This record gives sequence, C-alpha cells and structure tokens, in this order.
Amino acid sequence: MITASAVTSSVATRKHAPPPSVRLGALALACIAVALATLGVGAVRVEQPRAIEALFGHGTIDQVRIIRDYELPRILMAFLVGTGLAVSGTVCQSVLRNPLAAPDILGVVKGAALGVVFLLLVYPTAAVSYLPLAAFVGGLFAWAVVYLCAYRRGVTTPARLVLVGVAVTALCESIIRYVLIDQSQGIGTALVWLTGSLAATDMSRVWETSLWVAVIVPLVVACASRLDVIGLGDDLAHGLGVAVERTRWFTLLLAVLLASACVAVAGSMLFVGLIAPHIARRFVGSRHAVLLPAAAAVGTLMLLVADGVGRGADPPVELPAGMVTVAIGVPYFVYVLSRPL
Amino acid sequence: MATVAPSAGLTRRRRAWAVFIGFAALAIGGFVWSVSIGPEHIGAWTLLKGTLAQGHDTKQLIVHLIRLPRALLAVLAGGALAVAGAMTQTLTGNPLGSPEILGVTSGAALFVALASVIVPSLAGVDTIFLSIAGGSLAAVLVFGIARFARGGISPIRLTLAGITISLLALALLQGILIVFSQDAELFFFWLVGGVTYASWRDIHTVYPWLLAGLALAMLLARSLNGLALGDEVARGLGYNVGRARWLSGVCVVLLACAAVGVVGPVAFLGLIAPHIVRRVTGSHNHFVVLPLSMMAGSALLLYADIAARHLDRHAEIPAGVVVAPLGALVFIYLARREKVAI
Amino acid sequence: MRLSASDLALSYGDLAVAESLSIEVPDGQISAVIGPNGSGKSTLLRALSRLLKPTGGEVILDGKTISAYSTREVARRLAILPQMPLTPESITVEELVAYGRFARRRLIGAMQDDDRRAIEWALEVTATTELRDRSVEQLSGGQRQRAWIALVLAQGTDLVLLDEPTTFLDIAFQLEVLELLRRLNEREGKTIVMVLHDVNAACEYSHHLFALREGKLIAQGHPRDVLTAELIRDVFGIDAHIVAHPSSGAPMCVPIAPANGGAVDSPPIARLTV
Repeated sequence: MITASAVTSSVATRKHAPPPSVRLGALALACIAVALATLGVGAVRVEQPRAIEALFGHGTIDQVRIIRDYELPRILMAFLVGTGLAVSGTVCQSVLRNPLAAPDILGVVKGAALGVVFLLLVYPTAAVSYLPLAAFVGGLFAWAVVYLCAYRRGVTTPARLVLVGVAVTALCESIIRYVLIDQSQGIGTALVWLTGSLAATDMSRVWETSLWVAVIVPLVVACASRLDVIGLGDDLAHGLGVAVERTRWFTLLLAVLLASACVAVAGSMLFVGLIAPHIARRFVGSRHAVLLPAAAAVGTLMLLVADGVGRGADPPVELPAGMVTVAIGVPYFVYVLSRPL
Repeated sequence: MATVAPSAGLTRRRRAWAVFIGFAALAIGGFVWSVSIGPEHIGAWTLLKGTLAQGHDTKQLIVHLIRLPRALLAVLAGGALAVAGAMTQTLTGNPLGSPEILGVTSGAALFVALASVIVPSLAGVDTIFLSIAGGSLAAVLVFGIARFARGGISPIRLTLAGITISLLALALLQGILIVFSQDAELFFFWLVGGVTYASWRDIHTVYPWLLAGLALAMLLARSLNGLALGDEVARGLGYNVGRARWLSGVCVVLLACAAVGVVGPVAFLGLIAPHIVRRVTGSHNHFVVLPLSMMAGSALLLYADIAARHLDRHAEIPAGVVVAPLGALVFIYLARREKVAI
Repeated sequence: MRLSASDLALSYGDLAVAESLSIEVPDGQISAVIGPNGSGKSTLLRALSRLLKPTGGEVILDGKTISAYSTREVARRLAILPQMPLTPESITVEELVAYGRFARRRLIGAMQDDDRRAIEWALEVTATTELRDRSVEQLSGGQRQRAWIALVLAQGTDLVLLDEPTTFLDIAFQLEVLELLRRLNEREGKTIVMVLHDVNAACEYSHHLFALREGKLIAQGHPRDVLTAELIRDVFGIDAHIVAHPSSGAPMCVPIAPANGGAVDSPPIARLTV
C-alpha cells in the first residue's frame, strides 16, 4: 500500500502503548455509549434515563413505541450499515492499493441507484419493499460490468479497476439523469430514496440485513492475512503464496455485496466507506485482523453520530444521515490537507 | 521528444494540416446541418438570410434566434471543453484526464445550481463567475487530496480524488434539489449538458471568456510541450514548471467552467476530442493538438446535438445524452489499453 | 537440479523477450544473471518464479512443471524478492517479516512455534532484530532492503530469487546485502539466483554466471572461466580490461570504450507521454 502521510510512528512503535486489541475494545465501548446517548433524540424527545428504560419496556406506551419501534431499528441499522460500508471500504482500499478507493467508485452506488430508477420506470407503482432488491441487483450488475471490462489477459490491475469503475459510475449517472428528464413524476421519490438515510427502517429489515452482514463480514475477516500480503505488491504477494487475482476477485465481490446491501437499505452514505478505514488505521495499524473490526466500529460511530445529529439538530425536521456524513467528510479532508505532508 | 529526420517532420506537418482541414470541414458541415434541421422545415435561402440577419419573417427568426445560437454555442463550448481536456491530460500526465475527472465540472455545476436556487433571477456573467468559483474550489480540493498520500500526485490518485469531489458535489446538488424541488426537472436537464436552450444572451455572456481562455491556451502551448517531458527534464531545459502548471490550471478552469456555465457539465467531451486528435495526427505537439482538439470538440458537440435531436422528434434531448455514453465507452476502451501507473 | 528452464519463450504482450532459453540453476550455489538492459534478465527471473507465464517451453521445479503447483506450494519451495516492493503503511519490521509465513500457516489460527522460530531466525540472520519494532517506512535504504530479505527468508525456502537486490543502494548498503547473501549460502546452504547490474559484484559474489543478451544465453559458468573481454564485447558491446580483484582474485571488468567507437547498441529512447 502506498505510504500515506500523517501516519506517525506512534502506531508502529507501540511497545509501550496499549495493544491493538485494547484499542479495539475501547472503540466497541464507544459505539455502545454513543448508541445509548443518541437514544431518545429526535422529533419527540425522550429524556435519559427514561429512554434506556423504555428499551426494556418501562415507561409510557408512546415512549416505548418510539424507542423500540422507531429508534432501535435505526440504531441497529447504523451498526449494520456502518460495519458493512466500512469493511467494504477497507477491502477496496487494500485490494486497489489506494487510500482514496471506496465502493462508490467501483460503480456500485450509482449502479444501485440506476437499479432503483429503472424499477420505478418500469413499475411506477412498485411497492417500496422492492426497492432494495432493485438497488442490490443494480449494484451487482454494475460491478460485473466493471470487472469484465477491466479483465484482460487473465488479470485485472488495480489501476484498470479504478478507471473502469469511474467510467461506469459516470455512465450510470448520465443514464439516471436522462431517465429522470423523461419521467417527471417519481423524481421526487427517487431522489429522496437515493440520499443516504436510516429513516425508513423496521426490525424485519434489520434482521434481513444482519443476516447478510453476519455471513459476509466473517468471510472478509477470514481473508485478512491475504489482504495484508496483497498490500506488498502483486509480484511479492504471488511469491509469498497468495493467489492474487483470485483473492482480488473474491474480496472485491464480498465488498460489493456488502456495499450493495447497504445502499439497498440505506441509500448512498458517502464518505463512510472512504474515511472509516483511514481513521481506523490511525488507531490500530494496518493489520487486517484488527483493522477490519476497528473500521467497522468507526463506521458504526460515524453513522450513529450522523443519524443522531440528523434527528436532533433541528427537531422536528430530520436531516438524512447521508447529508451529515458529507458534512463530516469535508472537514475531515480539510483537516488532513492542512497537516504537513 | 524523439528527434525525427526532416522528411518525416514534413509529412507530419502535412498530416496535421490535412487533419485540421478535415476537422474544420466536419465542423462546418455540422454547423450547416445543425442549423438546417428542426421541427419546422426551412429552405436554404431562408437559412442563409436568417444566419446573417434577424429579419421579420418567422422562419428567419427561428433560424436566427433559436438554431443559430444553438449551433454557435456548440462550436464554442465544444471547442473550449476539448481544449480544456487536452490541457488537463498534459497537466496531470494522465491520458485519461478531462475536466470532469478533476471534479471541475461538478464543482462548477454545484455552484451554479446553488446560486440559481438561492437567487433565481441570476443570469449572465454572474453565472460564469460562480461557475468559475465552483470549479476552482473543486480543482484546489482535488489537487490537495491527491497530494495527501505521500508519494506525489499520480494519475490514479488524481482520478480518485476527482471522482470523490465529483460525487460529493453531486450529492450536495441532490440535496439542494430535494429541498428546492420545484425546479428539479429543469436541473436534471441542465445536468446532462447540452445546447438545447441556447440563446444569444448565453453566447454574449460566454464568448469573451472562451476567447480569452483559448488565447491563453495557445500562449501556453510551448510550456505545455515542456511539461509533457516531465517536471525535472522541463526544469532542466529552463521551463518555469510551477508557473506553467499554475497558469494552465487557471486556463483549464476558465475554459471548462465558462462552458459549463452555459452548457451544463457535458461529460467526457474533454476526454474524447484530444484523443482522437492524437491518434489521427500522431502528434503530441500542443501547437498542433490544441487547435485541432478545438475543431474536433466543436464538431463532436455539434454532431452529438444533431444525433440527440434525432433520437426523439417530439422531445428535446440534450446532447450530453449522446456524448456521455460514447465517452464512457471510449474511456473504458482506453483504460483497458493504456498503461497507467498507480 | 531443483530449478531449471527448458526451451523458454517469453514475451510481454506482443513484445517477444526470449525464445528457446534453457538454463539449469546449480543447487547450493549463488548464481548471477547479468546482461544489458532489455536482455531479459528480470523476465527470466519472473518466469522462474512463476510470476510470468512462458509462451513456450517450461520451467521445472523439483521435477514437475512449475505451473502444476498451486501458488502456495511454489511459495513453500521458492522465494522471490521482486524489484521495488510496496511498503505498507504503519507496519513494523516484525509484522512485515511475519507475512512471509503466509504459505505455511493455516487459514485461521494463531502463529505456531515454527512460525515464530522462522521469524526470529530471519530477523537474526539479516541483523534486523533490533529493528523489529520500527516502522518499515522509517528505515534507511539498506535497512529496508534487509527487512525485505528477512521477509522472503521467513518463507523458509532453500531457493531464493532476487531481482536486482542492490540496484538502488549505495556502495556500503550494496556490500551489506551481498555479504548477507553470501552468508546465507555458505552457512545455510541456500541456492540463490540474483539479477545484478553490477558485473563485478556478480563476479565477486557468485559461483555461476548466466550472461544474457537479447533473450539468449550467451555464456554460463564460473566467473573465472566465463568472464573474458570477448564476452563483455559480445554481451555489452564495449571494450574492457579484465583484471583480478586485488583481494579475492575474482575477475573484474574495467570498461574502456564502446566497441564500435560510437553507437552503442541500446534500446530506442522511450516515447514521452501520451
């Protein structure tokens, strides 16, 4: 992996600093703390500790309903989507060997959006429950196109994947715009849907998503050592015994599956997949066995905060979490740019 | 650059001229074709009269007020975007460079959208200013981001930074459209990019900037030739690399943003035209590539607009609809073939 | 011979680099591949380590065609250090060297004792033990190269291939690395094949030379037998004196002038940009 600025030696020479596992534990605790803190924030304010009590069924019927049926799914979804996007982003950055890579650039997000737009085009009255499926299929399809186009002589190089991903993203974007020109009705729905938001969630969707995440993320973690070695360059990785192309294909597929699923349920949350791995790396280092869980925790934190802020900043107006993540992302970039190289 | 025997240079120059004439012929042909087609059938004589003067005849008015500006704008904007693309490719050392890849067009579009939503009566020169402001900001961010990973600016990093900023700008744009949803359709139309609703006001607004930009580009042609050799070699030869880069960047923003301000962010135009030119002439000399790219870009946008108009006789479809998929395909083809270092 | 190539045809895309190249790597010795730019040295090494698929002929490792093994199996028998590997961010030397155990470790599971021993040994033999907790990015050129060598040594193979291990290092570091390789060969019996630019270093440190030019094997054998003025002229196109190294007696090549008194045959100047 190309060296990045600003990563000090403090992580590497951590003889006397707390080991990565402890830091990981700290991150996990932070997630739970923030989750509880944002409980009860929103259009109808439920004060702590009543909010936590409501979680267990104590309190007025309204409070319990709000906490259990409305906010709990959102918080759980923040965990799932945050994990999914962050893990997906980490894989992209490692496999493509670029700190600026993310599933968004592989055409997944735009492909998912295109899937939704097409569905609404063909079945304008499609039930909302079909949208995620369309998004998922769209994302996978876009990825398939990207991979096939980048595949040449038995190999896809990171450079080619990135470039083709960019082209497919642009292509999807232009098709979306064209379709939206033609169809004046339904633009509103499609637009809202495409912005990242945890709002339209319920427990059944949480269960479905958690099944997905619970299956795929462990598979990614199992590839941790391969991901480590790929960072040394294709040749050396080969020499060390990693089947590079197969690993690349497999892990990127997992990343795309995760990202597609997340976009399908939550829309496009920009920056989570891009930034979470960076922050995690600063915290626990580059070894994927700890980096992946750490990134998941950071992604979760990002979404918990974004959703909490979105709900609580200006009640009863709810800002979609996707816009808040953008608002977080820009200062982050500025901050990074201002540091000495 | 490799030294060639004198005879080879002569053939090359002859070739460049031939291509120039060819592209010019294409552009002129496209211009004439563009002016002559439309829902109303208009005879050749009326076309000529309409081109030259406004007149009182309805048909002449149609030609003068609707079709002529449309064709003219295509020529100007297409040429500008193509030149911006050629310069971007040299600046970034990336054969797949174009103003969109640098996020410039998205930034410009965002600012224009933002402004039109907040101040709906905004028009004319102010749009251009905003467009340039947005594009400059995007360019600064992109270059800044691309540098933040130690190891210098590489084509891939620049591309990724550009796409990140583009996605960001588009997301913000979408957010704005959600909040101010009444003009969404119009915006989407504009976002695809095209000359459909061109007017003389647009042309008057934009042409000083474009001409200035094109002039600046030609002045920078020699420096660009130097930059193409790589920073160290260029410096060794006496080029002021920093200044050349900076000025070229300004020129790219100027050309691309001015064009985007009136025509919308047409994707990939700046990518395709220079490539065609380079492949056909075999030359990398900017004294050749820049003017020829301009011709090629004009022709491209003209024909794309014509094609788009034929796609659906009853609805107006912006030229960008044709350019973008074409461009994406060219991009993919090139990505497969070119060796771009990480 | 554990590693050999028979009748290899190698090419990158449409560019043919070698045709019918056959070599046998002598076991337990240090072999050096020398030749001018574009002669196919690196390409040969890549083919020998299965990084490049030959378009004709075959590479034979331990009696089987190398393509018959899985990537992991090859990694257990043969280690290669390519040119310019990428340095991951924020990784310590010890973590880097640990990656070398990939081919021998199970998919999931903690490090075994032999893994730990191999890592310790690799660190010790390359004198990087005291650097183990340092970040790889922060090491000097020579230190970093030693760390990379420790990485491939941790693989625990008897065959080690290195592509220009000394090219970007200064004289002191070059010696460091070459001495290390000699120690590995003498004390551990490793078979080493390295591509070297420096003909004199090759003569000093290797037992067997392979001299390539334009994809053909011009000569091979012990440096003392093989390094002659005619060979230098044939392979590099220059006139040179051959003298004996003052300490070791190994042959040394001192260049005088281009052989044709002018145009040295070299690949055309590369095309600039697009």
